[in-house]
Amino acid sequence: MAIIEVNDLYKEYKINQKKEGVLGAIGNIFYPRYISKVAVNKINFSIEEGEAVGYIGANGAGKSTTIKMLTGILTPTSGRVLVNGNIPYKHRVKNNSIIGAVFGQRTQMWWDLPPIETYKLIQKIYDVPKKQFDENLSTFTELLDLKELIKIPVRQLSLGQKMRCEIAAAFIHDPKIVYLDEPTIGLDIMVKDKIRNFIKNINKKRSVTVILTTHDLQDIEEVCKRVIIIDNGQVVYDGKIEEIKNSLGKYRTVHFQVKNCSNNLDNVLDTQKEYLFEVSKSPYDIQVKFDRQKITASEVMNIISPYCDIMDLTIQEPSIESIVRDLYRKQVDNNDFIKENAGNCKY
Amino acid sequence: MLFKYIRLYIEFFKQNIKIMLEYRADFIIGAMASLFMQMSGIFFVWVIFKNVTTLQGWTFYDITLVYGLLMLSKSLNHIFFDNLWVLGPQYIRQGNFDTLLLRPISPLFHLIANRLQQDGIGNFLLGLVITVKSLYELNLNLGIKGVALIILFVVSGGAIFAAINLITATSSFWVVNSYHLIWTVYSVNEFALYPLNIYHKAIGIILTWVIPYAFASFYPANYFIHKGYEQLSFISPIVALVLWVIALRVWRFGIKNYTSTGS
Amino acid sequence: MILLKKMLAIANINIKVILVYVSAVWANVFVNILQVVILYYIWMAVYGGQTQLHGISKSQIVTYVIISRIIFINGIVSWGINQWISDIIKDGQISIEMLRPIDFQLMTYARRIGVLVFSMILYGVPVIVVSKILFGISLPATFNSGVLFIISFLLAMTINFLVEFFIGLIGFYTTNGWGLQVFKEALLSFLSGALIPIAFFPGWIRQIADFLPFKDIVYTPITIYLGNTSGEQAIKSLLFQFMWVVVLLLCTRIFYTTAIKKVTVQGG
Ligand SMILES: Nc1ncnc2c1ncn2[C@@H]1O[C@H](COP(=O)(O)OP(=O)(O)OP(=O)(O)O)[C@@H](O)[C@H]1O
Ligand SMILES: [Mg+2]
Repeated sequence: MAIIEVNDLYKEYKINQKKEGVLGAIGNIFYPRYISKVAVNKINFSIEEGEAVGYIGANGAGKSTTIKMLTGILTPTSGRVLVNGNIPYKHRVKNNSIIGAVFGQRTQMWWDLPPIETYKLIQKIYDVPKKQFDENLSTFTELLDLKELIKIPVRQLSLGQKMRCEIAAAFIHDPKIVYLDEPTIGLDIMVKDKIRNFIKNINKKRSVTVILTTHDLQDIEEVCKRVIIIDNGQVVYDGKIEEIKNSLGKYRTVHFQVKNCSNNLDNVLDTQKEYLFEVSKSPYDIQVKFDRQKITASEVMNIISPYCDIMDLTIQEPSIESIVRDLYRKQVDNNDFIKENAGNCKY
Repeated sequence: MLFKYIRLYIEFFKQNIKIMLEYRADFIIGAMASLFMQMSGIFFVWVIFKNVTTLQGWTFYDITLVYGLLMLSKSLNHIFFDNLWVLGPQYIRQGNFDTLLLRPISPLFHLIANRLQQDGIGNFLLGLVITVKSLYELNLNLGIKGVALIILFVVSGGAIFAAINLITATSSFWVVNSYHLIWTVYSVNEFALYPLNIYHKAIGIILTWVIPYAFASFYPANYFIHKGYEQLSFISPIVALVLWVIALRVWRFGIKNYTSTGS
Repeated sequence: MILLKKMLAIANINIKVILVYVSAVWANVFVNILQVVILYYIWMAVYGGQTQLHGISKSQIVTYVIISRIIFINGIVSWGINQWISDIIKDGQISIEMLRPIDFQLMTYARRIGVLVFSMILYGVPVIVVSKILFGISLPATFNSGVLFIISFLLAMTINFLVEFFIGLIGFYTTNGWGLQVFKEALLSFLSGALIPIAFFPGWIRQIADFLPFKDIVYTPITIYLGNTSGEQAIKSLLFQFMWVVVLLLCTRIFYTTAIKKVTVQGG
């Protein structure tokens, strides 16, 4: 049986419509007016033990809300979550003892104490055997390079240092499942790399189930084999990361800053339609989307450079948001997205 | 189970002591300030008794006994349950309550164990001095049984304070600013600093049956100095127990309504 | 006139701030009425069968309790003014304030008066009304006592402000503003007569209280109101209050200059 089972999971928030002014404030007390906001809309998925799953979507898509229901922080409005056979918000103690979690914007460590004290408290709270705890601590210290950090009070740590310590705190009690909600937010490449490698490593070696939300595609590419994409509270894709990469993630967009373009350019671009899509053009700016499996960026440049003076260029990778947008468009068209994608090349 | 919680509380306690030592200066000033505030209260009673010999049949030391017992109960609550005051602003509004819900222990236990309020220690010591001095001056021979009873009364009193604060603090799950509700209800305890029989009957009824702070001072004191209210002395622990049962129900209901914050 | 306008403009800022806290108002009014109720019953027990103690009658003491509470919540409770003074000097904001075309102390005074007026309306009036309904409050003894009381009250609030300013300056040198505030409130609630009329104090404490300026914040205005101090005696009291204003003004000025020097020389 899968370690996480989600059936028709649904959550709606009640939001108190605040009225303006003093009278409004008084009115609020007696006649609070609520509107409801659906954050997660009947989603289904199941996750096997040892999987590493990326859970992605645009801002406000409902990722954090889902994670909070999986961890038992929030009670679902309807639907069902089973984690290792337990209902998280009902069997809180049982469920919490096998999970770990990181929420990017807040800390689970004691602000005024060094991380090591938090780890020790966690050891006591989760009844981790001393030997195992020491082993984990030394492994993690090495992998995340924590040696100097764990003796400094948390409030004096930088964001990246804090996050490394935070990650260790989520794994130190050998949880079966770890939820990571934007663990790389605001970090530089070096720290991101360290954290990704760590998660990958632990996921492989100890077959800890990992669920990761992020806005950085690279986090997912390096850590996860499977990805679930959510938009507007609904699952729009659930499958292998490769498929996404091959179909939608293969596009790049180049922006050229140009001068002195010859009139022939339009004709030339027209002849290359097969490789270059969604061309937009103004006298000083050309934007071209291309399929990097069919044509390279330098070839694109070679096509354009005879007809224009290229002043500057930038290449953009697709963001999660744009992938979701593309996916969503296809959903509305009610077509299988791979098929649709082939058609996409033609315009 | 209970054993595990006791063990854990000791661990939390150790950590809290470490934090306290880190902010040593704040500890001293905080303890001094609240000590000073309480002293001005007892000074008030002292000045009053420079003008009269008894207050409706109560002598100076009768009243300081009531006063001292309430201070002891109040400071127990202050030292050990102070985090309830900040449940709204520090935990629920900022979403830090999430962290408490992620541990395999009771979130309420976690919340309470998370903080030890140093400011209450000065008051506890002053309360102790006042109580002991009053008992001594009143020529009461307590014996082991009496001492055990005092401890029971003070612990029950502390539990009454904590339970009432827990009930009002749970409102943080619904309202944005719970501080004023907590404070309003809490402030009613000031009545219990003095013997109930100086007030209008209605006030006595409220302090006995509605917001029963009188069970933290007036009724226990009556066990030692017989002024005609002894029959209610012994139910202090029962009142504390009932209040906690109610408070825990309210709390559970509150947690169900927790909606976290967006992130 | 321009000065008055400026003062109002500065005071106006605080009105909005105070209005935000509607629930604070209810809680405050409740807690203060509760204090009045407790003190009322204690005094009734103290008087017992007697009608007069230390020249204050049983009905006068009720009025005393109510008015002293009003002065306490609007005056001695500083609403953050002295904390603000310490903060503004500490974080260097003072250098910006000094650029304004108005003296810093005068501006703080305007701010304080603004706070006073609105806390009076929001907290003072409800407490008076409820207390009047519950216990009754007598009017000034005579018309003259009423007029003299108003003058005395204004002087009292000025003395109170100067004390706050002084405490604010002390706060600049220490880190724990909260401790200082609690300390001040505890001390002043006593020595001003806000808890017990000074007449009830035993010998030596009474001498100390009589000597210090704090009694002029609460005790002096109320005895004038009650008519216990009247005629020549009342005028003398007002002169003493005025003298304290001058003395405290000088002290705060000197202290202020030294503190500012420290900021501008060391750069905060
Ligand atoms: N505590 C809350 N109360 C009311 N509405 C909320 C709450 N938390 C989230 N929402 C709403 O629910 C929706 C989903 O929010 P959620 O935090 O799950 O998004 P998300 O996918 O994690 O977004 P992000 O990438 O920005 O973190 C949003 O529209 C948000 O406004
Ligand atoms: Mg989120």
